[in-house]
Amino acid sequence: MDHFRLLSFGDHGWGDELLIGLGVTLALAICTLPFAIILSFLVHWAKVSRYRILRSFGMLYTTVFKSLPEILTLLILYYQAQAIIGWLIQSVIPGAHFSISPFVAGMISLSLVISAYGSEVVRAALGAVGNGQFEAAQSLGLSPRIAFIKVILPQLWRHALPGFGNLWIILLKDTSLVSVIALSELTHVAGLAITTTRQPFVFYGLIAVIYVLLVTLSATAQKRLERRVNLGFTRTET
Amino acid sequence: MFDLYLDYIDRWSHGLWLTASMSTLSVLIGFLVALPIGFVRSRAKGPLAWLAIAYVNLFRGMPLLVLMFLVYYGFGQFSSELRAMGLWWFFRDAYFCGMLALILNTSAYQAEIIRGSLNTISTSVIETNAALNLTRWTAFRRVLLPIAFAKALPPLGNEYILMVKATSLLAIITVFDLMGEARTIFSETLDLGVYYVAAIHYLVLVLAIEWTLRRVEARFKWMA
Repeated sequence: MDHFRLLSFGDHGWGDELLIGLGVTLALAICTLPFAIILSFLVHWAKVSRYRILRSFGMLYTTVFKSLPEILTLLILYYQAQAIIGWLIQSVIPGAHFSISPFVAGMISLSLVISAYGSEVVRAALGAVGNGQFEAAQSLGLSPRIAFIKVILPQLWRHALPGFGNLWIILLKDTSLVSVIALSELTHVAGLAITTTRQPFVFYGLIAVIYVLLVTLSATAQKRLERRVNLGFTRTET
Repeated sequence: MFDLYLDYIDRWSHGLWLTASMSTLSVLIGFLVALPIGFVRSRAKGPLAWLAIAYVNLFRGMPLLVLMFLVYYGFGQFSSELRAMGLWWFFRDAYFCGMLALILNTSAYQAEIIRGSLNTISTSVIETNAALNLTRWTAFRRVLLPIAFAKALPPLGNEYILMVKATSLLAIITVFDLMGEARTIFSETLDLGVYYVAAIHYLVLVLAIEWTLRRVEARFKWMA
């Protein structure tokens, strides 16, 4: 029953630390998702923009962030942002120190990576809704902004759900990469626990199971949501 | 930035070679592992199908980084048992462990791709096989498998690119792939440009693979 003592709460066990790590993992994923979704729309609009410079920027954005390993994006962002902001602060207040928190760095880089894929989900979903809806809304005298919010967005949800659901699962698993810049999320806490207890199989096995459970839970929730939003539509349409 | 590349050109090319070869090898071996699993997923029912579902959900559900840690560090906990079984040479080596983790991960994803493409083959093809009196094995080998492969090619190509990116995680378990070389050069020079050089490497590698895949896909398009 040694393993139970390892995972107990309190001073001797790692149960409470792991629970906090799980909280950080979930917090990171949940905080990143809205930014990633908003960025996906922005990148998509840049790619279909009237202006050539915005279109090329959108293309470059997706190419770069889909080609670079997430961990490289994370490291570059973490160190570069630190260097730039640190330099800016130094020039205003000499001698001041600045460090970007790993949580924020993780949030930014994960949003960048996920939105590169998300822009394609948005494109497909908008295509599925069809341009006719937008034209009809405009012919009724709705402004483009209102037409988007009141007409397109409610219909978009149904088509974007599978894509964004998959991205959520990818995001959930990618949070483990932020352990590399020492954010104390689940994977990092397990690493800490192992350095003192020397039980790598127990701890990595345990967090692997936790991740699998989280993903399974997400997939089940996604399937239920999909069934719900598709009520009243025939199956062939989705 | 140029001198960062030229000064360490041997290490960069070694890293590039390792990244390209390990990702290619793991995708190919992963495909062989995924083929029966995907087939079972698309056809069989009962215990075998449950086993396939468990395999796919397990290795798709955990982050690759955790899987690598589990294989490399986790099995290290049983070093004396593994020594007794004569498997220690395998689990001692970060390269083998990394490969194993990559293969487990990609085969789970590829199995789902194969299942999807097998499921979309229309029933008329299967009826035609019966009408031509092909045995099940011949039908599978000469008709269903080629069609499924052609259909699966675009998603398999995506998986290949994802694997090229995923090999960068090997650096964390001390393999000197592109990312691993970048990390050591960075620790020597403390110059952020190192990571940009690595980024350009990945960009060029991925774009080259994408270009090749598009040409291969074009050749198989008539079958899909």
